Amino acid sequence: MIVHNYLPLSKSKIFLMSATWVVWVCVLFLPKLHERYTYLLDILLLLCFFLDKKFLPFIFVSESLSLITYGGVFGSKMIGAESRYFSLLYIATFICFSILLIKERKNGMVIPNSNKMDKENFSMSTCMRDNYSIKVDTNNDKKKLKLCKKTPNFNVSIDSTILKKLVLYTSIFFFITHGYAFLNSLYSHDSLMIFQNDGSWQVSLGRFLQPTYVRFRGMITAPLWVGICTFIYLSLSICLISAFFSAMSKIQKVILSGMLVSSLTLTLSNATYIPWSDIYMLALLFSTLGAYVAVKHRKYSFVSVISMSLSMGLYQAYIQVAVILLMFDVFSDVLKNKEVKVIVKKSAVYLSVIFAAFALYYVFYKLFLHIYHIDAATGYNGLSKVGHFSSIRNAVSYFTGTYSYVWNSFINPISPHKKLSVIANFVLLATGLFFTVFILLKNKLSKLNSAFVVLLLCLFPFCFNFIYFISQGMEHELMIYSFSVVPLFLLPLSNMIDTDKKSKIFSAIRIAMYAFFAVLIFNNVIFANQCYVKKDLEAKSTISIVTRIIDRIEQTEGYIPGETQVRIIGKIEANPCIIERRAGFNYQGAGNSGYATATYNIEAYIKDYLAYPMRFSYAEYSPLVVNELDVFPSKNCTTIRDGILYIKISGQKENVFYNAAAVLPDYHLIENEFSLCIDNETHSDSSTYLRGWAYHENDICRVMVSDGEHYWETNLEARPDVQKAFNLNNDKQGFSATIPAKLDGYSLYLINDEKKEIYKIPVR
Amino acid sequence: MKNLLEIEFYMLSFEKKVCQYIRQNMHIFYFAIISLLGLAVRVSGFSFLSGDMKNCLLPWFDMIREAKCRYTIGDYNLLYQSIIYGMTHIPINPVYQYKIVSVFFDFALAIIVANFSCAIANRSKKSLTFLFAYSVVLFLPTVFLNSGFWGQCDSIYVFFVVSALYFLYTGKIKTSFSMLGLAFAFKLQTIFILPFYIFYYFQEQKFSIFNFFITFFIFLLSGLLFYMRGMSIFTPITVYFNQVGEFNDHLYLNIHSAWLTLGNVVSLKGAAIIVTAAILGGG
Repeated sequence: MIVHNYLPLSKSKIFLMSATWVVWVCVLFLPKLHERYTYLLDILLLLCFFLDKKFLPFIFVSESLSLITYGGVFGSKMIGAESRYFSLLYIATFICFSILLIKERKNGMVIPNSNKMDKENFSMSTCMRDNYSIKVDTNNDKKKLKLCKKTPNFNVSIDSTILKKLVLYTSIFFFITHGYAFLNSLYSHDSLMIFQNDGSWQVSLGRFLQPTYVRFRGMITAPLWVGICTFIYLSLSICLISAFFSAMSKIQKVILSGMLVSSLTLTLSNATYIPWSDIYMLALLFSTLGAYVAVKHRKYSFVSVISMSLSMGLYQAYIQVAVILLMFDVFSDVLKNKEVKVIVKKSAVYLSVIFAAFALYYVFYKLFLHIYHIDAATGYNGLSKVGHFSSIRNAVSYFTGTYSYVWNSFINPISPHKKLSVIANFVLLATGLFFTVFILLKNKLSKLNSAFVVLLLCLFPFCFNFIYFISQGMEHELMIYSFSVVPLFLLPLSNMIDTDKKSKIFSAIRIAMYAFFAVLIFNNVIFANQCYVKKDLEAKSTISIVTRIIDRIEQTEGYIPGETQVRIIGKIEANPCIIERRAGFNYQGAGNSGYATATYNIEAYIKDYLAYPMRFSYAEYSPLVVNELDVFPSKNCTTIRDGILYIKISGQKENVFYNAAAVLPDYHLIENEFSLCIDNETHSDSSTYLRGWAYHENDICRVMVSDGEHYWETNLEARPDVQKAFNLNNDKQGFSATIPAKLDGYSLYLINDEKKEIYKIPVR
Repeated sequence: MKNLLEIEFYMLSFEKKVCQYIRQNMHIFYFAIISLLGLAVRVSGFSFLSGDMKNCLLPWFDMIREAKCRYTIGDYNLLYQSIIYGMTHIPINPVYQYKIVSVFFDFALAIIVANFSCAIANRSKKSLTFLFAYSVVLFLPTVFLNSGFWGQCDSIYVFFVVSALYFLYTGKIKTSFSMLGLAFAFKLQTIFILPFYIFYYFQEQKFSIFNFFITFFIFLLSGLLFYMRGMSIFTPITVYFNQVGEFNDHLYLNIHSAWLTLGNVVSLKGAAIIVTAAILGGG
């Protein structure tokens, strides 16, 4: 703002305002500051006021707020959370001051000193960038440069006719590809949560905008309404993406719509995760908007930063689309043989925007966690591992893994005609490389630009899949929409080749390219429809089996509906009635590899989907019960013990309480690293009572007990005696627990959430 | 009696001269009166003992007397410690001594702000602008409470920062950088103004980047007394490094920081620095 637009800092007002603004930013945003740090700011604001009376409100607010902080020294309380409104006032005042500075900047804008700066360069870069043109005034003896405001002239603008056509093509493709999903109720797996009340979970995963958006859109997952929202966001995104590709022909627009609508990611989202389909597309919209603004309206880059951070706040993975679009803009500049200096500068700006978006996202994330009083998720899909590599070797392995993932998707695509899709992928890749080399030679690119082309080509796979790297391999098909965007870069590349020659070879190549795009779209459309039919059939078979399971429960002697507790042993998806695969269906992709609608939580299926009033028990059960029962549909699949009805639906145990990964966070495990003492260990037939203490240095840890298969968290107790005896800083060493099983042998785990370590000692 | 009442008392020539003199030198009288009042309001707080004075400044005073500039005490940098060491040789209540030094710089600050105001407004130093600015600074509550009551020394570094800006504005570059060095010698908060110097450097292109060496040199020179008694030349830097390590459990402390809206989320410290850098970068 200050340097960028050639502010005349020697002008008194701008000099003072700029100095004040800089100090204000530091005072407002730097951490670990305390009262009196505002002293300099108050004096500088006072100077501004002496220059212009309009600064009186600023000095009044700043001085008053400084004075409030002095209260802590003169007997009043120090300011606390109740002063956050004052803080907001301070921020608002700062924003007003910034706006005044911007206005002042506009009034005082000058051409830099000709002795120090090349005027031609200035005209090319500064003026073009800021929508100013330079006119040469020839009326005077001396030629004078004048700054004139001109209307924006972007390389690519969104034409309303093109927009209408794109929306038309998008709607056609959307209907034939995804119509089935939105006109049928295909609830399964995660989407069984028809009442979408998982806001806290989503916030803990870093998708903090989801609860707000869902409240706005409606918390009940209504497929048609979700479909309409999805369509609107997707159409707008496609229009924005089209703005990156200049002068598209009709067939290219069809391909653009077809590829983006029939994306595998969107299909799998609609099939199994329909409550989030529109959220994903809104994330795509924000992501593309961010990239669009960064490219076309660079001086409003803050809008890009906000837009991209909003995209990540809905679903992080779509940021890859923005990154790849920005990268394409740089790539096309290189191919146009633009100056390396310009390219490097542009790349630096884009990188800054992306990093700023990540920083803003991180701040928002922490803010939402704080507002909702939620801890960040550490397990599956959580952000705890993002960017935390245990070693350089580990980082390198994920770096190469990022490329491997792309390569695997390339040679092993999810498609009903796999071989055809692989051939299409290879042909399109070869075409892309051919076009690049041709343009490189035709435009006689400098050595530096050629090196840049090679570098960007090498970086492409990493950039459209970098989530794999930073999340350390935590990636699935819902996170790779960017893979569908990448092939589309062939369209503008083909347009960059001089068409005047009307070479038959190029025409043939183009037609072949379109044909292979058509193959990909065709396969995607088929896969989507097959996928939805599969889901529909699974829904029918699941409802058939679960109805019979309920019937079997109701037929069990002694069962009173709504009163008797029911303990379901096993997983429905492992039941022999459902485990057989359907012939001819392609079982691949996130949420698409199962055989049943209800997967990990049959209780939710019965309760939420069927709305059947059943009382469930989640208590631990004796292995004897499991052994003596047969699996449903065998006759001997139910029994009633101690007032609880047990029904075994598979030999496989349900995950809950059995999976260490579900209970223990993914921290560094250290064995035999702490002191402990079991003061009391009492056994009964079905339970074990434990009380004792354990500590690792002065760390405050959670304590868990495990028999190697189950994991139980204990209650923490204060132990001042232990603190005194071992001269520790705190008294958080005690624990106690009643374990619902007779423990023959067990281990103690200390979980150090601060150091992200787990200490383990086998006790018996 | 009636005649006596009808007598008119005309102004004597002596009175006229006095009035004329006062009118001609009104600004001097005003300056003197306002200075006296400014001093009075500060002196009225001299007996006030703040927590910082009791718990830090007075113990440091005694320790610095013992240390004799052979090692550092407290978290002030070497120049202020040298001043305190000088104070230990004066047989006056140390509370008053601390406050006298700060009050002196209050007046210096008021004068430099007034001068700066005249410079930017193109007014004479005899104008009302000067007196108005001088008075406002002198009676700004945060200024007189800071020195006269609290015994803090923020006016010192702020005086040098404002002086640095004043000289930068008037084109005396070397003096400006020297003042910046002195400001750094007193408080690390001087760093708040550094981005502006960088902006100015790129924008105006009026001075060489090597002028920053003047600042650095003056900053290092500020510890001369300590070096003569065996301390390392890098001590002024390490003092600030130690200060950076303070308040680690706080994102903010008794200040209306932007982060107050979130609460004391200490883990945001890194993000806060990035955000500041990003905003300044945007600038």
